[in-house]
Amino acid sequence: MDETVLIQKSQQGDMDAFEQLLLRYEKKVYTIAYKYMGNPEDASDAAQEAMIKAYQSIGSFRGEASFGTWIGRITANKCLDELRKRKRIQVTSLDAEVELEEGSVQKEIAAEDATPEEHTIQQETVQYVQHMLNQMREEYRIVLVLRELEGHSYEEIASMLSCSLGTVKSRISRARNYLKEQITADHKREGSRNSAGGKER
Amino acid sequence: MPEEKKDKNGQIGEEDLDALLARWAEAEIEPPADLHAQTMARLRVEAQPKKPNKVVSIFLKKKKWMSVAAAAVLVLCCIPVVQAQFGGNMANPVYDMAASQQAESVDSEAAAQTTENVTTTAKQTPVAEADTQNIDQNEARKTERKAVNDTVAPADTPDTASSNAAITVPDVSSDQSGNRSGSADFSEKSQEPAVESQAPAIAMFSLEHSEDSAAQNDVKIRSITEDLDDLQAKAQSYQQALEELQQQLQDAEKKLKEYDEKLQAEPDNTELPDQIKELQDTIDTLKKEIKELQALVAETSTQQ
Repeated sequence: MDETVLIQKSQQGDMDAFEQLLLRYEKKVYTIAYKYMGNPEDASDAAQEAMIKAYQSIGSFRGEASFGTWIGRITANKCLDELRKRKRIQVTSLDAEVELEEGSVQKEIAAEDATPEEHTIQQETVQYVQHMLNQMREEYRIVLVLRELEGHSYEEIASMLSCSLGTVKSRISRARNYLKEQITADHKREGSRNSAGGKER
Repeated sequence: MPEEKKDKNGQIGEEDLDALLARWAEAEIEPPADLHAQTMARLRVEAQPKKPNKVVSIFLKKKKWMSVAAAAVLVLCCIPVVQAQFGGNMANPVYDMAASQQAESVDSEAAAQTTENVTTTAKQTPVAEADTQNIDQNEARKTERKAVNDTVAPADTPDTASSNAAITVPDVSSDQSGNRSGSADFSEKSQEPAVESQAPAIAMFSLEHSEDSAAQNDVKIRSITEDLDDLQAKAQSYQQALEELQQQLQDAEKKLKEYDEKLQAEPDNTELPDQIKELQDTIDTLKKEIKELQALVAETSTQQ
């Protein structure tokens, strides 16, 4: 059935029509939620909330943007709201240093210990980047997701997060540097493992 | 881990990172298998209780005045029912039930309680004779109404009336205004063919009642006229007393003028001021008594 017809029927309260729409965009909604939230459980919850919100607000959908864009926007907003509510501190910080008896050392994060849910994701690169993002503090991950996934400008991100333009630029820059450092460190670690394996042979 | 290009320091370049992030952004992640089912279950649950909540919110939260208005309308609708229960309105079906009960009881007990002529008329009156019966009934009711209006207290229960009639009589005579309107309604009803079956019994009842109440009313009228005579006598005595007091007042005022003139002629006279004071006191008391008497006269006139 045509998407426009499905939308019209959904606006009239037809649950079956809305279910058809959801089947088409469920994957997109979940993907966005997962990239914001960083884990399957939170992503499922956020995706559900977003789809319920979409059903409640479908009467206000005017078709100015595509339905996919509209429901994607709702999902992103839901995720941002949820992250703001939590205000949780990520276990691993970009600048955090581990205090030891000998002094403080920079934390190194191993890339190998991916969760079982992440193993189900087929694309290795995506899994790897997502894992890296999950290690960041939320404020860094959010700006990077808004920039790279949603394609927002610095100004838009600043207004969305209610922070200054300089803060956004700084966070994006530091998040990118962190990713580069981690990827390089992984390359080095991988190289040393390979060379060690060659010597043993 | 994907192989990425590295710069001189061994770090991957900006372009490589952009490419990596672009791949990450484009990639779609497969949702859990039960996500759709869970979402639809939640949607159905959350969609259902919405409608009753809206109605409740309209009536209880947003528009409380609507519920108040509804309650007021309900009370207004109940007023006629309550009036019929306690006031005995003739237009109410309750009275019709009583009337039909009267008819039944009259049919069975009329021979022992009333004259034979009336009962036979009531029993055997055909539908065609209902009009003449109604005329008699209306005349009887007119006399009854006059008698009721003349009485101060409600009419007593007639001795010869049946138990059903005894219950109905205070209803008829308790509220005079209601009685008038009720009688009017009743006379109109009696002219209608639908109520013709009740007409003989009602006519007989009114005849009985009018006879008894007329006899009692004569006694009461006598007592009232006696009371009225007493009141008139009182009023006359008050009027006479008032005239006497006014005469005394005029005399006192005359004396006061004379004393004033004497005082002007004899300013050295020491007795005159005392006498003038006494006169002024008597004038004040006389004025007070006159006022009180005038009030009494007004009262008696209103009572009359």
